[in-house]
Amino acid sequence: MVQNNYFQLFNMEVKFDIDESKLDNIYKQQVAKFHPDKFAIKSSLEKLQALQNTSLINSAYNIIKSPLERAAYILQLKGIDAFDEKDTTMDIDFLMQQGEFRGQLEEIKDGKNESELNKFVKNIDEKININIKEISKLFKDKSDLEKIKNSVRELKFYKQLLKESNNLLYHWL
Amino acid sequence: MALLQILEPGQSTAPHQHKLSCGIDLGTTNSLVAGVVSGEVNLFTDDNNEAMLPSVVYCSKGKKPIVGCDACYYAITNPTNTITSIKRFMGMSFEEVSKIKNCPYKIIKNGNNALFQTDIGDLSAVEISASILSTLKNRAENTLGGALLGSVITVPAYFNDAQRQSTKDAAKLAGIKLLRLLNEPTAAAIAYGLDSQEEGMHAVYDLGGGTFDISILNFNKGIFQVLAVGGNSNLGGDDFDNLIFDDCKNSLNLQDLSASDIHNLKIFTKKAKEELTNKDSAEFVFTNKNYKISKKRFNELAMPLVKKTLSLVKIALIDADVKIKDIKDVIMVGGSTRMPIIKEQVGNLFKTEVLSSINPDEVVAKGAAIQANILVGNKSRDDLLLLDVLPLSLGLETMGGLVEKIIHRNTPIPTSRSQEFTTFKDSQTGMVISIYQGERELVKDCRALGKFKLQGIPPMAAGSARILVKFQVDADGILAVEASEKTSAKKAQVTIKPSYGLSNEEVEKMLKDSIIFSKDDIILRQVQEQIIEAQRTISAIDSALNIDKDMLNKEMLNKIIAARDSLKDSIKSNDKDIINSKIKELEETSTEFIQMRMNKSLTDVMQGHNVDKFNTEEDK
Repeated sequence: MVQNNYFQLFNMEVKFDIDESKLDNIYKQQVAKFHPDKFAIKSSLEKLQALQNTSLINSAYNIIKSPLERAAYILQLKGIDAFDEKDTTMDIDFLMQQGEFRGQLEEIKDGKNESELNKFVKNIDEKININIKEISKLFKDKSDLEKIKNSVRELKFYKQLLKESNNLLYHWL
Repeated sequence: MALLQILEPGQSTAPHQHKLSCGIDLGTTNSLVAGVVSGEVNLFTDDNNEAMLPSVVYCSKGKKPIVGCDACYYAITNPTNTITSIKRFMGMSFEEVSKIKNCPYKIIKNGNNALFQTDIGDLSAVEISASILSTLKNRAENTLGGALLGSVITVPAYFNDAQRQSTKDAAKLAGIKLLRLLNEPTAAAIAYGLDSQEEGMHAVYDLGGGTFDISILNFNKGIFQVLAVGGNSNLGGDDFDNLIFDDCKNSLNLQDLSASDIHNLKIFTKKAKEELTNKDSAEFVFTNKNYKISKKRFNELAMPLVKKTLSLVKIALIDADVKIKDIKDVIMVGGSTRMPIIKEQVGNLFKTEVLSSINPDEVVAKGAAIQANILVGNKSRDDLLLLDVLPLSLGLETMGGLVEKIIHRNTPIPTSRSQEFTTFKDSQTGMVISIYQGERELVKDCRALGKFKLQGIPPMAAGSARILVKFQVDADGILAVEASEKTSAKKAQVTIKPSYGLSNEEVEKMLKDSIIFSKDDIILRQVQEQIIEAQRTISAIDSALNIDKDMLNKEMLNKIIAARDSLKDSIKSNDKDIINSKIKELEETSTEFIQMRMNKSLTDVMQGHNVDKFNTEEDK
């Protein structure tokens, strides 16, 4: 039986590998039907409806577009909470490496070095790409869900690191 | 009375009649209004054929405010009663206003808000802006020869919630039926996009009198999708003037300047800056002393500000996940982009074409006019849809003065997010949620949007109440908060009170007690608006019943029809409160029906699946 989920809103199967241009195209078609701007001179009743519909479509789009959110969402559909705060087990080597990265970021922050930051961000970007490929492979191989979960959690760490790195530009303004 | 001419679509004797609308650029320095007339975008001008209305308001005793060119004169003779650059004050708390440098006005505290003490009386920034908006609205109605069905007003993309809400309040006060707050850079892109039909990735660099905005957007098959915005709502041409102002003050060793001295010097420095656009140096005489500044010196002074804008451009590109080389062109908006150093530095960064073919002062109003024309439903060959984003992250205060982001910046809007809260004490019946907007981690570095008080939680053991708080951001980028207690046994209406900006009641009161707008006009207008809303609601319900009557059982159907008929009757009362309460009644009676229809329409999309069973974000 097919489950009801965000993927169906975009006429897609529940799969980690997605056709991004298809997603974008269908998203635009859907949102064009429901957007509040199409109801600008309608009653507030209809406006409210449009607001709620479009919010739902936007939330779904955000989740499916982001590899991290998408992976976590697929796991959630299978009954696994990838971001369970009580679960703190992580691979020790991975954590050590994260510690090193944090150290590097601290140095860049103190030195206010933009070109070093760019290099650092590029490095993290590469790690993220490798991680996403791994998650894709794990899903394709129908690997153990716990294993996929660990990979997704690692991706979350990298994403957080990337966000903090990019936020340095704000701090330096 | 012009207002009585408002006709609903479909009611008009000529069904294909062009519906009247306008786009308003409410600027820091100048404001403009434009409209689409016979397929052409026109700027509406005043009796002297001037399109630009200086955003200057003179408040003299016993008279209505004087807006525009005529007010400029008083800025010199009576600076404390002549408010300029009011946009900079929108949405600001008293505390923030009191930090503004070189401010010639008498500011007084009214709760958290600041009021300008003028000869007319104490006025808020909202009221002063409303007087500018009202002038523009009248100009549009006089030009078009009828009442407007609606207007689009532009705001800097980087305006926060409070600034947007204030602009909306000002529109309401000015009697403008607001169709949409449109981001200025997006408006500019519309104006350019439609001219060139250029598909692809664009950047809009918008440096106005008081604000800086950068937008990265994608135009594809009639849809403008904003990918990221960034900026600083307190960085603009005025700051470049201030550089010269301070340089002049230092080099001429000027001290203890009076309010009118400050005003005069500001005019001189602004003129000097403008002269430097085409000349290598500028000079003026002030208090019998000669001041001269070279272009080179000005560029040196300006460089840190320019670099600041370029850093914001880089951040926006990262947020949009777009590389500089992917940007096809850069649209320049705002009078301040006339400064040669800006064009040069922006061109250097993007290494691509810098577009400034449409007058940067006019492009925003023109784009707003095109959008307004589409929104009121005039069919145009360029039907397009705008998809915008939230400019600044929204967050909640958590332990230790930290902000936990609930909706991230550059999330497509409208959007909503629900979060569950619980009580931490036995029999706790209330709680406070503090909301912040900004990108930093600490509460003190973000903008407080205010506290929402949740009251009426049923008394229960600590931790057993489940309060679901829904944060809803609409297409204008404005936040609304709703709360409900989820434990089914004790269904409670949790009420919320925002503590920032003006409450609905305050806006209502302002309308009633307005010193600058005529009371009769306001009352009549409110009744008219309520009647229109009633008619729209009736026609929405009728058309829903026409299609989906079969969804309802007899009892539900009868209730809805009774509520509709009673609303129809109430229109004759000409009493806005009665009509309003009947609208609410009909809405409440139809809620379930509307929900069923909404499910059905999304279900059609989802090929037979029900929205109720959706795994939504809240369930995570």
